[in-house]
Amino acid sequence: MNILTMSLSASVFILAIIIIRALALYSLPKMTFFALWIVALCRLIIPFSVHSPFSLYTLINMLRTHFSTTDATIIGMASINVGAAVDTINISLPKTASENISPLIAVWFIGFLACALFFLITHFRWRSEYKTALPIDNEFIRAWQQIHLIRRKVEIRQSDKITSPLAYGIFRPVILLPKGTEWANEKHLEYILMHEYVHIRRFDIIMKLLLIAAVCVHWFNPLVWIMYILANRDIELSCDEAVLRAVGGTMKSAYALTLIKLEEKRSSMIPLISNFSKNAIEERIVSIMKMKKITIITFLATVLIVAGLSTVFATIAKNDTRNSDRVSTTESSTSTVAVPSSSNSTISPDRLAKIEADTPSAKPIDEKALQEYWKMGALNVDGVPYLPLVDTAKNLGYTVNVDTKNIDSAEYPNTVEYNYELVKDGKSLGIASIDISNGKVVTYMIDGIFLNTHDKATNIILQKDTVYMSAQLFKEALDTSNKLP
Amino acid sequence: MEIKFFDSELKVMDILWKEGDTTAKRIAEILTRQVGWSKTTTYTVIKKCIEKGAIRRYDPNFVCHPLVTREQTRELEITEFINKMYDGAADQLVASILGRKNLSLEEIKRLKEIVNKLE
Repeated sequence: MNILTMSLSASVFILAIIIIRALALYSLPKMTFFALWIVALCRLIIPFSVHSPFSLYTLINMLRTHFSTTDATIIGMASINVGAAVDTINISLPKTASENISPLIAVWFIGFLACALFFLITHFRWRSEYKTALPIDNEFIRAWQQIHLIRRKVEIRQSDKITSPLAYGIFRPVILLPKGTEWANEKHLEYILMHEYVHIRRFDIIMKLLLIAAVCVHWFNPLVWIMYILANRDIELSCDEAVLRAVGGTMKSAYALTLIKLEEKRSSMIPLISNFSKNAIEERIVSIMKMKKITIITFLATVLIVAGLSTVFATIAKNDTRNSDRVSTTESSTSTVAVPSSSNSTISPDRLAKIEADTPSAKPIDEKALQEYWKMGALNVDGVPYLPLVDTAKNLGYTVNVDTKNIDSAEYPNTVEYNYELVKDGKSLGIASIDISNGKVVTYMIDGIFLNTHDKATNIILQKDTVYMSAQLFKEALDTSNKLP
Repeated sequence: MEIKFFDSELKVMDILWKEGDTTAKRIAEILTRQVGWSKTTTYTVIKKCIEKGAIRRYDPNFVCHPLVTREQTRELEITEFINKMYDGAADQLVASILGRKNLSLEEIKRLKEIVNKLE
């Protein structure tokens, strides 16, 4: 899994949440969206791994083919025998990765750094401002603190640098109130304190940090930014919901008025209040006023939506990880003992014609791209995938070593594996491999990526997310196998 | 000199106005006790004041010397307040203060003395 795959599969999920949110924001408990965002976050952040350019290109290839072969039938995974090829690849991979850092990765990293720096600098600047807040000498607040004890000591301070109340700190939480707070208005104070207290108790700050992390990693994905904005709103909405449940539903309008009062103060201090935040506060007020008691029906709806969406989503994730599954299959089958056996591969002209018809034709490629293509396994141009050709490679002065091996298994008897190694100046640049069982191509592998699995019958059936191998290499492979003693 | 202070900065200036030149270390000690700031926080605020030109730093020992007086600061704040709330009419502010119900007799006596003195 790399970032782009994670981003794309999570995007589908985020989109689904956005739609449900738009349709049922006021009719579902706000915890629903809160829970859904958490699932989306997990999807975006775990497993967090920066892959080599190798896999990023593979992904692009996979995606392009995915869209061009969506109607292709999906067949079960055939067992794969790669043998020695895997070892060679594992050795040559780090080299190739460091030599050619993809510009895409570089761009991603710059964006990531810029985002992370922006958030970090803003965070630390505000944090040092918050630290200069002063204690409050207020009887009501002292009494309130006595009642609302949690394991972490909650400090309450005031600052003339903020315009609306806030809470910060995970281990030593602090509630900051603006200097202009109406200290005498105890109901008003209580609502404000309750709201921040719920934030602290629920560790909402961690959720906010995770959202920032997701935005930094997926900065290129506009849906993740939308998620960042909406999830931050939903944190507030579900916090309001919890406060109202604690103080009693009859307090709705009083609570809403407190919020409006806060907003008035804020907008009088910040002259340019955007439409966006106006929209957000409206959403909040309407949510509060329309809040209903959680009934069995709404509760069930929540559970169903969260569980259902997450399950659909997990299925997508499983499809996405198929590629890595294949690699692990490879590794486990490396230990397969190669039993030499004679192979009499015969391919009928009809079948060869069929293969050629089914396989998009290869295009000539330039030398600079050749190595890259070879390493990537295949390349898509305008949705047409092809492989570096053995002939082209030879014409450009590369050596193509062909190595054969007999690998038999119960499922695939009389299997011969052909490994094509691209070599320049004595240095291995990558391996393409093809396995033929009883004259039928079982699988290809190009430099560690399995491109195709063929059925045991006459037709070539391509798997979803598959990159085709060019007809010519196909022929090459078959010809070589025919020439074998 | 016209310098606007945040509440946090006023805390530091307050100490300097009360105690005269003070080392940064001592200010930090006082404020830790008074408002619970860490040493770093106090130093950040002192630095802000130095940048604003409200404090001059003397070495060794990082001695802080106030460059504005409490009166100057009060003057600035009061002028701003009068302009904002009383359209610049200071007498109305005095009337307001005298009309306050929660003034003690002691305070009213002192205010009257000031008014008499200025007449």
